[in-house]
Amino acid sequence: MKLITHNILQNNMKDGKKGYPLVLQATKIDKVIAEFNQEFLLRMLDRLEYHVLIHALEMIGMKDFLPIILPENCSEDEAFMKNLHHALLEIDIIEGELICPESGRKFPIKDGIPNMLLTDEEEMAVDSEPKSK
Amino acid sequence: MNSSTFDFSTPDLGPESNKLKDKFYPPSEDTYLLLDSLEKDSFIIHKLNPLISLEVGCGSGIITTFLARMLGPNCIYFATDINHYACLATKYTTEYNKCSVQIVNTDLVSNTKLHKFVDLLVFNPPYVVTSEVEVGGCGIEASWAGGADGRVVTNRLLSQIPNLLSPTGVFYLLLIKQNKPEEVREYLEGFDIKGELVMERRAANEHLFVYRYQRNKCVY
Ligand SMILES: C[S@@+](CC[C@H](N)C(=O)[O-])C[C@H]1O[C@@H](n2cnc3c(N)ncnc32)[C@H](O)[C@@H]1O
Repeated sequence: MKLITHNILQNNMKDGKKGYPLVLQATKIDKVIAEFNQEFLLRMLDRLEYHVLIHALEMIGMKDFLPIILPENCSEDEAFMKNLHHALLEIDIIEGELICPESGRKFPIKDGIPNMLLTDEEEMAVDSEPKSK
Repeated sequence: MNSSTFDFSTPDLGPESNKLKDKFYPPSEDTYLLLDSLEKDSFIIHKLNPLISLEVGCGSGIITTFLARMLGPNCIYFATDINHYACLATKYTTEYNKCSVQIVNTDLVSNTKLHKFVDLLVFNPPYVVTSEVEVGGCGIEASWAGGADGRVVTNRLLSQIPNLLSPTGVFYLLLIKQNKPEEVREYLEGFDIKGELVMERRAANEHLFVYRYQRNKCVY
């Protein structure tokens, strides 16, 4: 799981709480190489929750990697763009857990794939709740 | 760009995916019709210049691999499947083809935050008409079991389409005749999303269709 994916994962809860961003605990991290693409990164910055990316880096102990505040004119800042690329696409969380900040619900990451499904027990708990549909 | 520069060859799954054979949906006639439709529409898709692509129910990963080859690194590719083995197969297939794809094991788009985010959405759903009890599993049966009209799983995604699609987003959906494609078109029309048939084909005992849906206001 790349950190770009962490940016779009959420515990969608019925009670209106955010369930976002998820706490990230990594027990196995790989580094991969992805093709650098400046145009992609610039467009992605518009849709990204930058502070959540910073938070994710902090949680895996790579805090000083990117500036806390998005720099102005970042497109001209080559070092920043390279680090942003690395942070989003080259850090691969192979094993670990995503944890909902409000409910504490855990989602395992295995073989690099986050599992966002409810467990059978959770499913039963949901089924016994009155349906809002 | 000239369309002859695109790679439209059918991707191989590679040895690791093949080891999981029988645990995920193998590329089939419906898969190939979707690939052919995406190829046919490649000009439209390129013009939309998608940034965020999402395949729901990625199975072997062949469609996402095809898209990643067609569109290259200007786009990020998300893929979800409810079947853990399909997610693994997609991982192996995309790695074998040297494509970078972000895989999430989930029910449709549950527990994601993709509101008005998706520029290119593809779904080849479990479309076979079956009894209700067959629907809702996470194994290989989830590949085909579609419940009443073969539409139970598809309907759950359809209700989220207006929220998922970006302003210029485009959605490709495979349906069979029993799924009542006209009803699907009318349903999305109610959200100001228009549907157009891209391709159809008769294969064995199935009549397959691929539709493209887009917001009416979308100009490209
Ligand atoms: C007809 S197969 C298509 C597989 C692949 N995309 C292809 O075209 O060859 C349907 C896929 O959807 C997946 N699926 C079924 N229900 C799902 C759900 N609720 N959420 C996510 N994926 C689902 C199945 O596991 C299966 O991989």
